[in-house]
Amino acid sequence: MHKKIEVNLQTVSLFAICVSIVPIACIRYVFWEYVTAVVLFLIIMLVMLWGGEKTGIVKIKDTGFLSEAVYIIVIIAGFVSFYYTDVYDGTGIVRGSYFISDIANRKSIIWALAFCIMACIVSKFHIKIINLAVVFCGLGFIMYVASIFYTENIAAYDLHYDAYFYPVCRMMDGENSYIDFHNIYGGMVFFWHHFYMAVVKILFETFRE
Amino acid sequence: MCVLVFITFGSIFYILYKICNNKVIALVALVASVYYPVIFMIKQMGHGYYLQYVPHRMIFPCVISAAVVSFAGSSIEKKKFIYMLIQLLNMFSILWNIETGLICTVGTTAFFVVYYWLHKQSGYCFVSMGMVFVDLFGSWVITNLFTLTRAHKLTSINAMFFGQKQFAGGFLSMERPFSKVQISCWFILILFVEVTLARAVYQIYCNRGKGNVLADKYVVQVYVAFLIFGLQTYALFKNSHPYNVTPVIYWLVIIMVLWVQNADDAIKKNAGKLRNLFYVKKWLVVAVISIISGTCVANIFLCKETCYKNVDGYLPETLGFIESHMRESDIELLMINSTYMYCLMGQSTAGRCESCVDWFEGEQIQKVLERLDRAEKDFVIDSYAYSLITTYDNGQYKEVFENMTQRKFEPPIVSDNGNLRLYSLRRYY
Repeated sequence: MHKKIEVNLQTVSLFAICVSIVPIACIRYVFWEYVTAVVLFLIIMLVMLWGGEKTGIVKIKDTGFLSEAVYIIVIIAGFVSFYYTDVYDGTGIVRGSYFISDIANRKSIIWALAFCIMACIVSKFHIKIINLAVVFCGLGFIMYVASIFYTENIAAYDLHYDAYFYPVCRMMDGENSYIDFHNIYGGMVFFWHHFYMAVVKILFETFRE
Repeated sequence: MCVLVFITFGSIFYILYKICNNKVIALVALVASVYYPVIFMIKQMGHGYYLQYVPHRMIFPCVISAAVVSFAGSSIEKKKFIYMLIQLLNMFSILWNIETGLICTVGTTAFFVVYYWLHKQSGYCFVSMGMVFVDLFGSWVITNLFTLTRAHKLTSINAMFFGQKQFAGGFLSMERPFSKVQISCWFILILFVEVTLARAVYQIYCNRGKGNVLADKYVVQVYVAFLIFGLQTYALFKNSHPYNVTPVIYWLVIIMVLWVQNADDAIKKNAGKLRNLFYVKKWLVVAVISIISGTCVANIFLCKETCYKNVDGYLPETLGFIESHMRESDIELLMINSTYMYCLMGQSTAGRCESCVDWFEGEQIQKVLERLDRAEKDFVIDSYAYSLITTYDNGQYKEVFENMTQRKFEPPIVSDNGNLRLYSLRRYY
């Protein structure tokens, strides 16, 4: 009787990742490389899990000292990769990083440390008032973020304002999306234009100011 | 717009609050998840807003995901109600925006299929699959109710998918040279999705048929991974930036929080060196989230100021030029912000030419030129639209534009800063 081979889950996933990333280098068609990579990965994982059990050859186990290495590598790589996110403009030329410039100031580091320490301290306690304070702070913060999207701010010289509100204005003008004009952002205009019809006077007054 | 943004981030907060044991981590993660769609994107857009993403394409994936998380953690009685609510939300999400709506519908269906398979309720698996068609049909019916009431006409499927066809032009066959392969966030995103799927698929496999809470958690992870996969695939429609992950990168924060929870579960189960390793993993992830949120807090208060940049000078100059030179109230504006200009001029009517930000194909430029040729009215064109018309496809429309303007219009009046050109019809002279 053959002996079962015990394989670490992370070894399997690392193998699947390596195999699935091959299309990225080979296919070169942006859509297909992405889809193929993820689908291939899933197929390998499922075959290893189900096939291994059915044939009785491979047994996959979850734990192991090196098992978490894959996760840690991805976290670090993910963090480092933020450097690249905003620099790739389609030409492949590195132009700079908003993230790096944002993080490279004293305030960011102090806030980061404060958050980390706060999370560490609170993990020791389970008090309901902390949860309440978190909800209160969270909602307050979301309200501030929402206020950034106040229509008067958006209406400033902006590339995408026009595209977004163009179909709304056409609907307000009595025409119909999908019938009289092309609308590429979806049926949101069916709802939006009613709202704008109701507040349009207020909006015009705001803009005029 | 404020309300939509509030609902969007409120849903993200709900998801984080539900999945985090340590509520402070939920708050820190909320702040971190705001960084990419708000601060980062506003900077990337040159101190402007990308409304087509935030909140337009974010709202339904976030709201539906909140409902999915709520479903996973609720009692059987509530589950039925949330299930129906999710189907209703799917219907409206398809109506709101087809791409994200379809991704949400397929994503939730995959979630329900895996969930019910895990709980050995195969009947519900098939019902959930069938619900995709109900959602699709429902949104089609609602759309037609609107158009029938207003225009007494039915919409064609072709018209509904007009935008998708445009974005997809060349999308599937877009090739790029091997030299541009680099370790970018694009690949890291795939790694995040794959590593999450690896753990989740394994746990679901091990816990199948047991119907426990742990397995449910991992079904949620599969759903989130699928959502990132789907949303990123659709983001590829924006084929001018194939490696731009900004539209989905905020989901990585949610994934990282899920990893923290996985590590927490593992800490409880294990001992010794392994336990310490899980501690390292947990706090490493928390540190990453804290750094992103620290960056967010330090920069968010500058956001409003930067968005007002140049408005004081730009608006009076632009509006002043248009109003001082226009001869009739009905004027065609071909500008990147013409809808806003119509509002400022006190007109609720938009121009009949499609917004120039959406000129993706030569066909659209052709239509605009035909429109200008037919319409008996003056028009203002800004440097953005002018450049698009004269340079598109090696300048093939430049000659058409120049012939038409020379034939029908007076030589243009150019604004002091050179940004605007006003063409008046010859009949005025």
